[in-house]
Amino acid sequence: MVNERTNDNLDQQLSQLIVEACSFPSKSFERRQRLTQVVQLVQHSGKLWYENTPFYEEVLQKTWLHVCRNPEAYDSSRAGVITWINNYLRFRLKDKRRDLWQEQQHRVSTNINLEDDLIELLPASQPIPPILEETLQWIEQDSDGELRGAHLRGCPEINCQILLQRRFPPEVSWEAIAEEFNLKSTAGITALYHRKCLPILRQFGQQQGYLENDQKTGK
Amino acid sequence: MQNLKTSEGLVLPITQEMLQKAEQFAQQQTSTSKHKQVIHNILAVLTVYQYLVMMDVLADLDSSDSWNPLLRYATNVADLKVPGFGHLECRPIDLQTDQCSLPHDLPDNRFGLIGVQLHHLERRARLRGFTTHFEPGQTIAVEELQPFTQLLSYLSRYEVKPSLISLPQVLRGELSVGWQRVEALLGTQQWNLAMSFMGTSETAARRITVAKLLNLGIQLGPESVVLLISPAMEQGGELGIRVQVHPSRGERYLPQELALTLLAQSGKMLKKVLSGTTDNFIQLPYFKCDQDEDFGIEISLADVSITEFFTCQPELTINADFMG
Repeated sequence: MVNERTNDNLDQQLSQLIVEACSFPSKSFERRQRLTQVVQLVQHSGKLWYENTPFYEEVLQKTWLHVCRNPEAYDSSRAGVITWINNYLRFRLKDKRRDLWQEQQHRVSTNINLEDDLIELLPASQPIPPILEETLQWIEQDSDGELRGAHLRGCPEINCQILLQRRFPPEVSWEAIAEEFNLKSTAGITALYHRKCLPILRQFGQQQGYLENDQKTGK
Repeated sequence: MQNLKTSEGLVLPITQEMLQKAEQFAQQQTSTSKHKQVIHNILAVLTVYQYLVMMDVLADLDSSDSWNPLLRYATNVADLKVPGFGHLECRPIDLQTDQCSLPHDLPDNRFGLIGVQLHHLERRARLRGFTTHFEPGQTIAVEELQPFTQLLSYLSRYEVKPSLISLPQVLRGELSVGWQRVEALLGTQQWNLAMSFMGTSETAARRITVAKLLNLGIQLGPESVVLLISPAMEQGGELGIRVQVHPSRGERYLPQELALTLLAQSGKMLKKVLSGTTDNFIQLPYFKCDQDEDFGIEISLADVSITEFFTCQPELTINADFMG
């Protein structure tokens, strides 16, 4: 009995939040805040439909997106908010299941266990990716002297070439680098790094077209 | 109203697609520690990205540093570009210590930080908190973070102010972005009608009229109207201004209950006009503004409103201060 009452309270709260969200313009703080509260409350209620399938999370995310982009689609005369959300979720899960069956997937679903996979990918078994190799070569050659020319004031030996070489894998810690050059703190070299070295690196990446390549070779 | 502590944050799912992306980037690494770092950082970024998409906040992964393969080699990077605001740091929270560690070489262009708890085994991530106070190399405890919804407040508070349209520039024939010659937006008949109400024949020759198409639609579909502003130099050196709102080309009448408001620089309402059922257009009473007074023109329909800001200040030569 108590559960039913709290259920009603929750549904009432949610209904009120949806109505309020709809009354504010899209992209407004008030609307976003209320929609966030709806998602929080439903997620926290324990009443959200759950299935142990690999695509559950993807469909749940689509459901949240639907709730947040289309709160006007909620009709309080037909069902409570949680029922509305669960119905949408379950129908989309059914659709996804049917789509996958139709595709006749033979691929084993990606069930990445993060801890286990780390053991499989030890450095020794990996060939060095071409992007990394080319970049390390560019750093080493520094043919126009730009990397060596960007250095700590008064200390040309502490320059971007040296820093990039240290920080690229296998990386040396900032503390160790500071120690190597007898510096009292890491502040100067880290500032040089993100203000000068990274922009030069970024420009190199752009010239090489690495960003496009990355997207093209995406699995 | 809440029986939920907002400090508990928001739980969002970690999808297969997110895991695949994180794995794809992590496989480019050559050390176990960087591999793990990249997985966690990318999952944190994608969780925040998903939330922003839900909230209809524009976010751009491709412009994020964390999407740049060279920067993933060179730094411990976990950011998300939010156009109009800058880069948002999306830091994984260590589940053992309940803290985020910031790298020493954190760039100084991060406008805020969101802490994300990753429960990858349960395929869940929790947006835990937000802060604008952080330093490179710092370790931040979860308790030091504000509720993550503070990000929403930040976004609404620091939204880039729309630029002022300079009426002296308009008189010189310069058009700002979005503004056009009135003939481009109104049919001849509409324009002739508008002209007859513009002002005295004295100023007619000096009058320049520019127009902007405004979209006031929400759930009912696009509802466009044309805002006209027409300045002219008066005898006393002030600008005499006529503001009108017309239906878009092809439409005969304005939507009902459309409000046209003149706002002072302070935001105070000075004049307001409402459309009725069959208005071909509405206009504000002719007014004059001088150099010291900026003003706003607000057009609203139901709960959608658009405000344009104008200045009558003559040009100053501005020296753009570019930091090298």
